[in-house]
Amino acid sequence: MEAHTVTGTDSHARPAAVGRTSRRRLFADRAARVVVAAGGIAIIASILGILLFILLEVAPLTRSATVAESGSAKLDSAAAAVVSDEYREHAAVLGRDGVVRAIRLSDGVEVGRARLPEAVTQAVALEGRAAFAAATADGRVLMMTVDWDAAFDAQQKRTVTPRFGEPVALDVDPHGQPVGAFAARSGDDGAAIVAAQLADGTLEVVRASAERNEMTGELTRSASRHESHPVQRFTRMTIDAEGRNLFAGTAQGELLWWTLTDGEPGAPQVVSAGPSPVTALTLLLGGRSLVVGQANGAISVWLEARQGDDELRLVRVRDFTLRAGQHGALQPGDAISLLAASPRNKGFMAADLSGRLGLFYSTSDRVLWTGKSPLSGATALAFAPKADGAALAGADRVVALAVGNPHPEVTLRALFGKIWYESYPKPEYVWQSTGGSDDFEPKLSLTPLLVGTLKGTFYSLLLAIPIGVLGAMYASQFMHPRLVRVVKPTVEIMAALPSVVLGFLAGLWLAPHVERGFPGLLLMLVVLPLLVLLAGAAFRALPQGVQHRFPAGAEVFLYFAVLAIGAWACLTLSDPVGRALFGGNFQNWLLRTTGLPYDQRNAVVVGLAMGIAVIPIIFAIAEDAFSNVPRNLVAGSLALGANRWQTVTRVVLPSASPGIFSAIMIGFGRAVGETMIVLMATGNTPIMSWNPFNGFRTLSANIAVEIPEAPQGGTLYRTLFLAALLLFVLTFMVNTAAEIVRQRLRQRYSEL
Amino acid sequence: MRTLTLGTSAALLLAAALAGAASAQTVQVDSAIAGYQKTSGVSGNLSSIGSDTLNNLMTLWAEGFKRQYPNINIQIEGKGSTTAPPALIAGTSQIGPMSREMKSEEIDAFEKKFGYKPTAIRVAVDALAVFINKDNPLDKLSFSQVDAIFSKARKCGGAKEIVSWGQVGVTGELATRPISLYGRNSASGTYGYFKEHPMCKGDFKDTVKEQPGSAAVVQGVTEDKAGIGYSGMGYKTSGVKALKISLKDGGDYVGVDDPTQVYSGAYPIARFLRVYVNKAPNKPLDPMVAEFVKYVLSNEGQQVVVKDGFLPLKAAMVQEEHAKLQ
Repeated sequence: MEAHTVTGTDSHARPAAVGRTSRRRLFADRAARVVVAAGGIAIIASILGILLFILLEVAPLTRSATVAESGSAKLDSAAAAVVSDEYREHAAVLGRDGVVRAIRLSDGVEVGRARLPEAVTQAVALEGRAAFAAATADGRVLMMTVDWDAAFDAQQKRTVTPRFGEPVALDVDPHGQPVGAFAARSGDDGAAIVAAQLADGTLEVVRASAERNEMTGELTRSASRHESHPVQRFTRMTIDAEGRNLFAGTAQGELLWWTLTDGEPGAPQVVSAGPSPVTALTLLLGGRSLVVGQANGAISVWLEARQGDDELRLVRVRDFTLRAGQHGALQPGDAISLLAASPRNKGFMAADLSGRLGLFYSTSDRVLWTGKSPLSGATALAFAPKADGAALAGADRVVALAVGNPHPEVTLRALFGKIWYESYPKPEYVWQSTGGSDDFEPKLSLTPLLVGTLKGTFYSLLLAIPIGVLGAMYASQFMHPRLVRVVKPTVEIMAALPSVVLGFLAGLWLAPHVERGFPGLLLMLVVLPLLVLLAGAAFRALPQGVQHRFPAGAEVFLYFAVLAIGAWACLTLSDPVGRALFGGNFQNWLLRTTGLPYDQRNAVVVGLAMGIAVIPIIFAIAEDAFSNVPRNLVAGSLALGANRWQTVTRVVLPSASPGIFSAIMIGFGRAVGETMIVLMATGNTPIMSWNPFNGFRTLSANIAVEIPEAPQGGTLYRTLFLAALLLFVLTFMVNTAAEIVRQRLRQRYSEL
Repeated sequence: MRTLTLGTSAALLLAAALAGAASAQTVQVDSAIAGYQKTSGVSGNLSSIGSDTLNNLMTLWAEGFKRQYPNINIQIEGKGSTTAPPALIAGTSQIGPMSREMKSEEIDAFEKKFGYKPTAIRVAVDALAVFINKDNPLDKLSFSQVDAIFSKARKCGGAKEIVSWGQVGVTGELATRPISLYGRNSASGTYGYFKEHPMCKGDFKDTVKEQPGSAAVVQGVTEDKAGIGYSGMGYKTSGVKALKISLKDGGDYVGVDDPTQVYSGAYPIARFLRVYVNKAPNKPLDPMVAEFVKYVLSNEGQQVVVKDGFLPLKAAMVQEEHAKLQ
């Protein structure tokens, strides 16, 4: 802009004489203006573009789930249980007549059938694998797997054919009476466990186990049978995949929980879910959450949680309902008839007798979808193996449902609030996004990361603000100009140090040294400022003649020497001081007296390293602010008899304060966004604690650590983008606030 | 992202430095495993993205393979097993080394793109070691103790949370010190495996310091007297000590250094390392990838495994893997 006005007046002054040069200048001028403007617009556009991109990546998190009918077929016999293939092209239905029919859903053609030895009284689809368990009238439980083989022809077109396994039969009742409520699981290599209540009320647990050595592939088989005699009659039972926990519900609304040791039930733990009879029972993926459906339409989720006395208890943590918005008297149709757990996440579906259907997610306490079931009077419900669909079967029809449920884990509460996770003793803020297995419950609380970000920023600014601002004050007001010409660029070069180098040094070199020499570090905090003051006084005490022998500004080297000697002395004295004050071990002393654990990779180390990265920025901007205070103000103040210190604190500092404020805010922005130092120098521990002696995990480091592993388009991926958005908003807010405050301050002091 | 790569490469440099110091192994490659037969017409670009545990191994294999076929250009990136499936799906890599098995979600995503499932080939045996500082007098831990040290949930049945060294029987100055935990970042297969096995699927404590590479874990424990960490045994250095591990309290404590115990499955935290490839059914594998896998499964390739401190496959296992290539 400046250049423009100059050339403008220039060409006006001598229009004819230098027409050619003038035109060239005019052209250069316009070109420059266009280029500069284009550059500015491009920057704004690209920042908006980044923001838009982040928003587009985050937006799908808010999308709700869909459940829609995707196909249906007629059945010859009433369904007892149903399973679907992983491509949702077929469903296998076990009828009451004991026949398993595999039906192609697109045209209703039966593509395969198998027959169990006899008719079944009740049956369940075994969650987690394509298999049925069915109870017969003669007291046996039969299990049959249905595998779906995918074959590819030359064009890579897939055909899926069902393959029925040999039925595995376990004699549960030795007397051949039909069993009551039962629960079953089957594993690989013919392993199976069945728990059932016999006609006389006995609880029978029959187990055939097969364990394979992962290295050698060797199989070890064993079998066992145990019984116990509970007083209650069970309405529903379920058992986890490992055969370790057995649950039962009663008509009085009681829940019983047995821990099985090698198939032997001990004494059950009994809790009440309310007076209404338990009508449906299922375990969510992983077997750690129990979902209970009752005759009054209540759906509740229970967790095994360690309580105060360190005992595991069944605790009711969440409630759902299908009767949303419906008040008034209970109807018989409100009874929950079917529950099915998702094989991929902690979600489940529930259906009641009146034909309502709902999709819920336990962790985030989210009702994903509720609506009218396309099949009333359904008697069997199961998720498809990929949880992208479900099958519903009734007296004469099987209906396939398509389930679109991309991000059930995320709600505002899940991101920022306390959530009661599986196996946790109480609701907590946790970030732990992935596990090695499918049944892992993602914990996506951004709160510990926000706390970590602020903690890291706080401790680094604690070091950087005093040193940066005071350093700038000294350099601009007291230091000899010749030295400033060397010092200022040197400090600015420090800003160019790659932060990964700082992080690496901090993590691998500084952290162990700080741990060993912490008393020395504390000593420095006290001794060094004192030493500097002493050195100053000593220098002033020297006779004038000696003082003048030093070239102007050289006294600063005296301080350097004093500081170096002081630091060396403090580090040498670290051990004796540690012994005298902390009994030889600072870490133990800290833990004993304050209860704070000391971690080698901690906020102090990061503060030191990040301070080094932030100091040059604060220093440079603050130094400019100090230097830009009009000379006449300083001269006026000095002329009126104020000494230098008074001039600096009463005149220069207030006038420079807008600039200093923006220096601090820009330093803050740098510290918030800093990634590599935090990544390498802390342990990236997502803890919620302000203790300076342990680590933290920041939003930015978290993004860097986890984005390579996040499956594109998945919930974690989008949540990380949300974290990026949060960072964006945070720095935007800080910068805007800084700018506003700066403008205000500038106006106020501009009258000076 | 660029800085991250820098960070990892710094960690890798360190890894390379430490690998040289890895302890000597006395394991011999099964002589029944045949040597590599060179074929002709193999050239082009080969890219591998995946496990950090397998990173050194992949680099060494790539060197050996390049000696056979100088016209091949190989790129290897190892940030964690979880990076392998997205790269295979996007086609940015042909080989996906992983230190854990693919999760069904990852297989789904692959299948969605290609219509068939990826093929897993076992390439080596790795025993996970639990490391402590060399000056720590402890020499063994049981699963439930490891679980009570690393996990919040204590699903393996530990009665009390273990927070200080004294609780596992260490005496002296270290006894009152809190245990300082080191682990891998969550992209790592080792992280997942450790969570699933010694921790019975419980969650890590929030105080576990997540390091970007196995070498960084070992380095952390070397520098921290109160430290404990885990990684593949190939990363052991003289600054750390591998603990003997037992599945049950008071059971047999087995050391990681005894290969026969690892092969027999007596050492409880051993696993296979795998590479995943994209093989269409009824079609042969891309010749370059096929030759690379054959090289890895050859006697020469398995020698490399020994050299890097892991355990080689047995001849029977190699045979099974060859069958998958057909």
